[in-house]
Amino acid sequence: MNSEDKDIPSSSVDLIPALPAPQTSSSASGEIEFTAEDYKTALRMLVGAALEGSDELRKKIKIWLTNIQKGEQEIDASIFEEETGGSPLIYTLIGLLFKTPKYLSWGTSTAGRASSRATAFVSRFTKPITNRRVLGPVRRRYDDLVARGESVVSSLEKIGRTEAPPSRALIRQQVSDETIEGFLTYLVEKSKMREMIVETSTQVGGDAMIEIRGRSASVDSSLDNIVDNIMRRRKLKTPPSDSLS
Amino acid sequence: MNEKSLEIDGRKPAGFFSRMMAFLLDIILLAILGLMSGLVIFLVLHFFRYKQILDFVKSLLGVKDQVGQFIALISPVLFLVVLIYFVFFWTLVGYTPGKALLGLQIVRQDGQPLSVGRALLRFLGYWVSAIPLFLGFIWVLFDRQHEGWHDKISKTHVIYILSKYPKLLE
Repeated sequence: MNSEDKDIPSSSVDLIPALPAPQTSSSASGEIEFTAEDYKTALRMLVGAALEGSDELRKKIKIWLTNIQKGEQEIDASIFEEETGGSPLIYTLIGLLFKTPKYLSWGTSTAGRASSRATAFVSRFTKPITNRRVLGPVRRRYDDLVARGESVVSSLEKIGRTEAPPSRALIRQQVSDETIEGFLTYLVEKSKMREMIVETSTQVGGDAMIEIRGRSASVDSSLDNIVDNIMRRRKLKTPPSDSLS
Repeated sequence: MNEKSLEIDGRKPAGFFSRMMAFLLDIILLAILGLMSGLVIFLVLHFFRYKQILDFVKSLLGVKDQVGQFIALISPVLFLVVLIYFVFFWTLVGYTPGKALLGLQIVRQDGQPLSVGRALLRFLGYWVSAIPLFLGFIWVLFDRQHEGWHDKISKTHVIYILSKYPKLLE
């Protein structure tokens, strides 16, 4: 661990054995360099926060719903009727919101059934062609590709399953030790890191914009050439700056 | 970007494609802005039960249902949003977000920034250009100075502010 990491409260890192300590190496010139581990740690924090946050929210919502359902019989619907003005549009929208998951699942299953039927129908006609010995290598290649795709998906799933617990652990550790504040202070104090983030994002955005501008300007030039050729007029050599200034 | 160097280098009028792309980007942004602001106003009016306003809109445009009300309400809002959007950006910085992305700027023929009056005139010119099947916009493609009818009406130019592509400015 280098000098930059000494500012992080040690408890946040040491108590999670599965996680490598975040390493932010400094070059000889004093500039901070981000390693792949830093990226992984940041990613773990994001994933952990999302998983833990959604779990927490779900728990809270469950508790609220139970509380509401307990006292449901006492609720007088006419009060709410008055508050919403009895607007049919609002009720339609609310109804639509509650029906959407049902419609979605129905739509998905219908689409699934329709596509399997279509596949069966099409394959009935294509079978005599695809089962021919001539197309054997193509079929094998296709099967290989499918198998490779499946293995990629399963390996990704495996990585997800391995990474989720340490991500959760990292966030739990951060929250329980109240070290988020310390981490944020660390980030704020390290102005170089902030500057670097700002610089990098500006540079990326700027480069993309310059690229877009350049490309659109070259399309303009090409269009000008085409129009000049169609209208049989001479191309302007110099920009018409005289008329502008 | 260095404004001084742009004044020397970036004087070439912008071409049709860049201008069209910038305009499309602005339109997309405006559609989102207009819908959002229309929805917010509609909900606020409903929340505070300003039925008189909604009834007035309803009677003015002869719409009966709530969707019709919403569309009737959103039309003037959208027009206002569009007007403010263009005039605000043209007078303040000389470019809308779409034009900024494509590296374009609107200036007067003497190179000065637009006044509010000229920006309004240019905005009105948009409609003049649009009414005869967008001929006023297509004019940019064939005009030697890449001027649309709205440019000619308001005596303005759309120029590149590209400083990193000197070859494109030749």
